[in-house]
Amino acid sequence: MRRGVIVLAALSQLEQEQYGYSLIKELNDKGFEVGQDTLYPLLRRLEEQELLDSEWRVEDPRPRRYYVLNDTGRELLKQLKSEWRDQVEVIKEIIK
Amino acid sequence: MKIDVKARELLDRYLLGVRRHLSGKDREDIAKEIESHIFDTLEERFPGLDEITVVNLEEIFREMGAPRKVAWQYRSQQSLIGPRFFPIYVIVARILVAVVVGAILLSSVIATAVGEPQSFWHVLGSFLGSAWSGALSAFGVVTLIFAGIERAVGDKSWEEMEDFEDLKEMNEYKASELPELPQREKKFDRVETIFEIIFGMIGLAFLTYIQTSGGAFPVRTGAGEGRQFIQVLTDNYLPLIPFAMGITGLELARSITLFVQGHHSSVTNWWHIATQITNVILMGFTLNAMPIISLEKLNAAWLNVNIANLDGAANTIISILIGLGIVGTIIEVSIKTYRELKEPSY
Repeated sequence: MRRGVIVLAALSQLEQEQYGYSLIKELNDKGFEVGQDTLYPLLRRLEEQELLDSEWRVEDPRPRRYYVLNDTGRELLKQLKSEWRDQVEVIKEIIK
Repeated sequence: MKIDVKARELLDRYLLGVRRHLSGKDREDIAKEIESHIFDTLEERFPGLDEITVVNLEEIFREMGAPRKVAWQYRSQQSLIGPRFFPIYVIVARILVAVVVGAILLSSVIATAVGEPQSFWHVLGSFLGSAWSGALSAFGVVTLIFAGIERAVGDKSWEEMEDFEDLKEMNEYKASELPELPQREKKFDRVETIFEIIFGMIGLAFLTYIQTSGGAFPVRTGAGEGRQFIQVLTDNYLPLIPFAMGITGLELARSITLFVQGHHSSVTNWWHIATQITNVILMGFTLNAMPIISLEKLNAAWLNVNIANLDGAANTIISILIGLGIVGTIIEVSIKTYRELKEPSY
């Protein structure tokens, strides 16, 4: 279940552009534990699926690769959010 | 944040290890991103640190694990044998192949000692044939078994593989297992590879032409006269043309593979070594087949040069060139084999 949620969690934080480490930190700070071994390959896959755009930016002190949602990614995020809310309601109903 | 010389070297070795377990055009980019992540982690973990040392770096590496583990996360599709099982697969394959070849050697020695007397070359040829097929079968069986295990375990992450404690330990970071930095790593040159492909195609076309023309070339013998086909290559050389075509084809296929994958790898390097060795053997057969060209008819019809024993002189020059080619290729193959064994590419 967690594997599917990671995509939603990552996409939801990429409306503003972020580099890998800042995204890991932001997710971890919000209580969603994710490591570099999961997140970086996931970002690559999402980019391959043309959901994200990325670019290398040379900033002090070193180059970093920044990722941001594109239109397709935004559309998918909207859809995933809606599906997630529906499922939460269903589960709430089942377990109450 | 500065990094001391030893830590920089350790980082470069770690990243080289990761790159060697990656394939595809993105591997340099992935390694660069991992490097960027390591520096971000160091900055966060050791704020105010003037200079990164090996101790700081190893703390991060221990959390990340062995380079193959890091690289494995990036695989786009399931490998035949993924990095989780690769270390143990290599050990098992080496042991089994060594045992099989050793057993075949022993049986060959016993068969030679107690059987009918045979020539040395016959015994050697028989042993090499049996050893090759035995080693290949052993290697194939081990590969199939591990490919089956890989699929049985499926998409489990490293953390989920609790039943494989020893395997998990093998994939932990160990400085001693990091590859040494190569002194001279051959860079992939796209233009050079394009030229290799073009020359390979021209070579293949030329060999196909002389194969179909029977070693004859069209010559216009005089003004107003038509073209006449004159055989320049002797019948001694013609049986060798299919082998030359095979080697050229193999080298052309290697150049195309190199162009597509965009970097030198163990496969393309060993492929090159194998075709070069085959080329040396073919050059040996060509020397043995001398004379391979006959210029007398061509001279009479077109060249009109006054050289006594033109064929003898031409074949001597070709023999010298082939001899030099054999020596040069053997030196090149020896250097490349040594380099590939000492600093293997991936």
